[in-house]
Amino acid sequence: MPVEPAGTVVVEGRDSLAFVAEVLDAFEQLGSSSEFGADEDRDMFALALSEILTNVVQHSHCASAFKLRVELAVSSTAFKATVVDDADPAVVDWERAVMPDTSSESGRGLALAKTVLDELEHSTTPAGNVWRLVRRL
Amino acid sequence: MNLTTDVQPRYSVIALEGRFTAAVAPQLRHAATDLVRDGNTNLVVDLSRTSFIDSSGLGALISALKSARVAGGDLRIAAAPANVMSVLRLTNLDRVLRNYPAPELAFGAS
Repeated sequence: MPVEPAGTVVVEGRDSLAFVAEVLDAFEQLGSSSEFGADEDRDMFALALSEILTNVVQHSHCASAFKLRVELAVSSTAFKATVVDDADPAVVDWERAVMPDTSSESGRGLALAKTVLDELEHSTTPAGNVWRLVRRL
Repeated sequence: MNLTTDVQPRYSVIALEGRFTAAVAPQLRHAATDLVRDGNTNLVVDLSRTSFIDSSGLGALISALKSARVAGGDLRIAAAPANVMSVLRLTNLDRVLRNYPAPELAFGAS
């Protein structure tokens, strides 16, 4: 059965927490305007988006401001996001991306994203970094 | 995002409206430390109008909880929406941050 794309949205900007909010707004609009996915799918994908984007904005190494391009896609089978930046190549320590104990004040982001996504990949290119996020519906 | 505080005799309420993300986390931490510094060590975080929380928001809550407890008080949450409770459960923080139905119930009715 062919996958029906319900819509895609691209959000571009610079590394800032305001940009993260813009992307969450865009996903909220995209998700609510489509009939695909349950509320839980929307909530959990938004969570993963916020975790990965916040990570990129707060932990990327770059001497100056860098650019981000986020493509969001909703279809009958999945919510997807591709995050591309032109910051220095990030080193992601996947082994340490586990849920810390309850007294910890930080370090939950990557673990949470991994938990609620079906696919989470990071790769580097000569231009920067690419993250792929997928939650199947 | 809107943060308001309301100091009452037995506890203080910090209400968050909107998304509780990294952009907001410092405000919650500061509000909590200011309240505790002024002797208001029982804190209720009213999440009834919090539409979203991520790990930054959780971190701020844990930080505020520690501030309150070190000062001999406590921090509790109230009226958390279902999606916020989901994130608390995913992180096992639902055992540390017990959700009360309403702010006025968090520290027992007087």
